[in-house]
Amino acid sequence: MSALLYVIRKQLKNIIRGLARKPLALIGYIIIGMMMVGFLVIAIIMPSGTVRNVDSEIFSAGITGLMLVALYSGLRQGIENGSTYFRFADVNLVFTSPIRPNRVLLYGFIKRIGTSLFVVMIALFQIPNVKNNFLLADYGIWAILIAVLFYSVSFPVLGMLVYSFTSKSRERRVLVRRILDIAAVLFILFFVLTLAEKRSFGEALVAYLNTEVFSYIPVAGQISAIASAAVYGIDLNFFVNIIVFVFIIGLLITILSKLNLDYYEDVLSATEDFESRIKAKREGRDVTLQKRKVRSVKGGFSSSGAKAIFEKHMLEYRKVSFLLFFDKSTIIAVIAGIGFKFLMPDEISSGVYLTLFFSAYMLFFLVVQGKWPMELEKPYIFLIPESNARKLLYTTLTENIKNLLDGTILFIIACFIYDASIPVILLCIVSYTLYGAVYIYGDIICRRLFGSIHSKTLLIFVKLFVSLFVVLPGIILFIVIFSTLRNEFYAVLSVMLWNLFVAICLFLASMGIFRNIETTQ
Amino acid sequence: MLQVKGLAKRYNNVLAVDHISFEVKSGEIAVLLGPNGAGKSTTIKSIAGLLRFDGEILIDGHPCKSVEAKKVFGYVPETAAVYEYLTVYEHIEFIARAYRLDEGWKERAYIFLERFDMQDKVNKLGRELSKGMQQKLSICCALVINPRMVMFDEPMVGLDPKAIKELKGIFVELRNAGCAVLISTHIIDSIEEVWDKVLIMNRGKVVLSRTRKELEEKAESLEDVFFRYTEGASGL
Repeated sequence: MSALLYVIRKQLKNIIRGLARKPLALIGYIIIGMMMVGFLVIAIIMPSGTVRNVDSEIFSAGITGLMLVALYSGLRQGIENGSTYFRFADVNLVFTSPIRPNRVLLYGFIKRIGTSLFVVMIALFQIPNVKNNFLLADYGIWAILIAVLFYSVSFPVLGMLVYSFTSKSRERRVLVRRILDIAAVLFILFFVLTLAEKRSFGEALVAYLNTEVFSYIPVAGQISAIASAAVYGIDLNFFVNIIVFVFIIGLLITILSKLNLDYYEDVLSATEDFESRIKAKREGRDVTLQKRKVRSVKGGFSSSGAKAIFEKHMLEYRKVSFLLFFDKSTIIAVIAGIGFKFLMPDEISSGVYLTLFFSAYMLFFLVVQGKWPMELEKPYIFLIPESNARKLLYTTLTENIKNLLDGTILFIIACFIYDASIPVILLCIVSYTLYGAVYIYGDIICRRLFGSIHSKTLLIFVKLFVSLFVVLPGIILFIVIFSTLRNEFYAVLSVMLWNLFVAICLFLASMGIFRNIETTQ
Repeated sequence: MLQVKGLAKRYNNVLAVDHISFEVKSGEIAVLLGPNGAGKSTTIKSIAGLLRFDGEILIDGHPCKSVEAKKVFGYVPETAAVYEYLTVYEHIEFIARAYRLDEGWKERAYIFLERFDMQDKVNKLGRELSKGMQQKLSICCALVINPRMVMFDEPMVGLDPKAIKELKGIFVELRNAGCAVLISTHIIDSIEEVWDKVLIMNRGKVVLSRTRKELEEKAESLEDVFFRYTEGASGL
């Protein structure tokens, strides 16, 4: 075990040393760290339930629902792929070494606790949202953070266990799949019965998910109960659930390490999947792209020159998307934009422009995961004998069209919800598309200026700050015009014109991206 | 030193390795050849103790997954994967601790690092190494344990000519020191000078097992038999 602890200790030391040698990255991490601490302080000191005081039962029902979905999908995924705590270096160097597999598993578990702390930090960002909507009990945020930590640490164990059981034979896989499907059907069936009794979907869902039986489901039930202590208060039940959870996880790990010492094969597939996800994330690619089903489509190329790049993208979209540009990101954009209206109190979300700004914020995260940067990994785009402007235009055209279509769907729905005028909705659609263009060309500028930055996560933060910096004048312009003229049309028009100006400037500045491959590294 | 008896491995309904048996003796360099999908990688991973399998694999008389077997077994995987935040030296120190090596490991490590021109890279992090350098480090990690049986999976990929030459020399030195060496490769030319025994796999089976002497007596080259047994009818 000392050898494995040596690896953990040395890696930590080298990460810190590495940061000390790169002042720019260190500053970036210090800023992120300060933001995290800031969020923690805000999360602790801010009063809860000030914006609205939603019923505690809705909170616990939401948590239980989330945990049940996570448990179902985690076990389903476990059947196919298992789960892993390990990296390829562990497979090559640790698995083949004379260290007992149960110690190796413990090492993986310790590593997982380390990475789980990062997940907990991300959860911190959501605490103010929770506090805005729910009246939390004393030390309630700690209950949420402990639940997030427990969730992150425990679910891979379930994945590994289910895989080690089901990977032995096809019959076992079918059996576990059937058990899960029957459980899902029973879940829905009992909900329908509750619905018939309550006659209200919302009420029925809250009452159903608060049924005591769910708290007895191993792991998911305890995590749900621990998190729910955030609103119900930390009492004896909270500590009992922690003890039960620790006992169950200990038992599961014991089963995994004592009864199944031959688990290395069970984590190989998940480790390969994990490595390819990390690689895709580092290269700024969509991590789900390789997993999607590819359809065979008819029709090839009809254009030449830079337009061929556009046609290639269209061809790829037709192969992987359900309905050309309509895909998961469209659904996310629409749900986030519309969901915002319903999550915020009426006095805050009275105008469609707020959905525009919130959607524009969400759009940033969709754009940074876009597919076009994959072109920069291959040499072809650099070699095509066309002008840089045409190459850039056609390389990013599909993304811009997609943003236009996503924006159209989003704001047509928003038009009915907000009862907004058609000219304003049209301006919102164009503004949304131009926000996308600003992010796309801003992304290129960041790649050119900060391409060699220490970490891709840090690069995303840099991109976020740069994007915020360039769109901020448009928002200020909006506030000034809206507060003086009290006219939504002119205010949104000013945002649109500013975004158009910025998008053109960034486009012109980023044309050089295809001059040489070095700037993208 | 390495005994594979009736090894079979099935993925769902596909029999990737079909009850193969072979042996690599101490002081012998065996080369495992075969076209893509022949079952070489599955065989290699089974010997390395990474897969479940039917049959028996013994290293130095111990089941390949036992601690006793792993103590004397070195493995150079096809794709070198190193810890991003460990230096070259720390990788080797980790191996020394994991294998509970005696005091002499540092000396051995520096000899191998020097032979692979890595002596000035000892403080480089894994993430700062090129693919070739990672492969060299992977080889050093496998050799520093002073293995009695060592397995190389495509060891030449990514290496520069000097490193390839050095590695070939190491193969011979390992053989002379009584180590059993198993090399899996596609590049027949790369092992032409050093092999003692060839095992050709096709469609999950070992379709040929011959010593160098046996082939020389028939005046056949490794390349000739490879194509004959992987393109034509199979059978020992």
